Amino acid sequence: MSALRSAVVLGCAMLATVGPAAACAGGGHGGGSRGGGGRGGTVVRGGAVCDDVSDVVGRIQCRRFGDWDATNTLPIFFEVGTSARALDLSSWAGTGTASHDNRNHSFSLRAGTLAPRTPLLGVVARAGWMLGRWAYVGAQLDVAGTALDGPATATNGLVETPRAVAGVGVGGFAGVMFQHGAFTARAEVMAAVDVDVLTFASALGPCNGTATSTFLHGRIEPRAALEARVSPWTSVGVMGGTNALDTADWSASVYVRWSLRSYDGTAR
Amino acid sequence: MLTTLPLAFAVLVAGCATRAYTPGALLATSTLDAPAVTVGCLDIGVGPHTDPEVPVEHPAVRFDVGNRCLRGARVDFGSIEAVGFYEDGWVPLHIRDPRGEVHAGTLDGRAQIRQNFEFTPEIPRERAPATVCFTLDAMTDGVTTAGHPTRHCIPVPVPDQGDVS
Repeated sequence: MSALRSAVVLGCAMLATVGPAAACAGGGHGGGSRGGGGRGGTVVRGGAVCDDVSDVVGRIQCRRFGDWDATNTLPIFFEVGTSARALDLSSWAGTGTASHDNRNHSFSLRAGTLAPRTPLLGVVARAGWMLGRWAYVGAQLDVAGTALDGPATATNGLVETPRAVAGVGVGGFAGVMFQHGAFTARAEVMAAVDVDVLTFASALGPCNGTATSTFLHGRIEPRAALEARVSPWTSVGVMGGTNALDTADWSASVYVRWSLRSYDGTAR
Repeated sequence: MLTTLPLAFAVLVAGCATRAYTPGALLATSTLDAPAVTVGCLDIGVGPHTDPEVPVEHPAVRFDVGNRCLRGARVDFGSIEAVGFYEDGWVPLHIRDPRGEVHAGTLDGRAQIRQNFEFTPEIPRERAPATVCFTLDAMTDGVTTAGHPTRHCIPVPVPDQGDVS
């Protein structure tokens, strides 16, 4: 595992960008994812407004009969929620450049500078497809961030102080689910690519600005979830998991889940 | 932003949790003028419907269908057998389906729908029937008749010409 972790850390790329401060010119960068009720009604179809004067089948013009037919509905589900992650920033290392007074200045971030478990808060959105009664696959997008407060690193008079970290993760997941009554238990694995951006306050003498360093790394996260059904189409759930590539990273979320099919179309 | 998320959660959950059909809900609203029966997984409420586009001699009927089951249930409005009692006796009625769009479908578990149909008499009539009766056995699967069809012949008062607004 340590070799795997080392490979991931080595695989991380670091990019640094310095935004121009109000008093300083220049910039720089470095290197380092339903049923028809109701009378009539107005339907917008193909960009045109269609007014129905009748809600009797055979006289309805704007809607097709059978829009309630579930066989036309894909077994898709959507989830949105809040997320919390702990990110191991201690392994982050790299070099970059900051620009002050139209000159580039190198700086470095050494491993161990940042906290090993930095909590991030954010939001997560997922979409998935049921594969029969028990299995599913899907994709996830999560965004999270938090403020940091140092510690500052100084390199040749250039002082870089970490102020915030924000991450965007894009990945896919596959899992199995077991339903019992109003509850559903899920076990899944997600593979994702995370882009985490570290923002620094950059200072060189009287010249102040900001710098951002971007880290790219992978995440393979086994997770478990428990959901409670609040309607045939809606559930609320909690999910948690740990990054198998860096067990100091973990994530948890509270979410709402919608299925286009009631009971995910799995009830017998 | 994070402080508003719990509220957004509550609104979303509440908004999406109100669509489920409660088994028996349609039966609870059953009246002589708008009866309801259970056929297989389906609770079916039937009642007169008025629509200015429908000629008075063609009874318009509202069907409320709720799925009692968790699984999807077949709903076939085209299988409804209907007869109207006119001044000269019973006349078979057929769903008016000029576009041939009425077909069987699957109603999701615990879902509810409403469909309004216009029935045309097999032999043209000039006035509305006094009563319409329906046989709903074939509307869904899993209804065991064992050679003795359970016929849900439901009298539905249809508004007369003077009642149509």
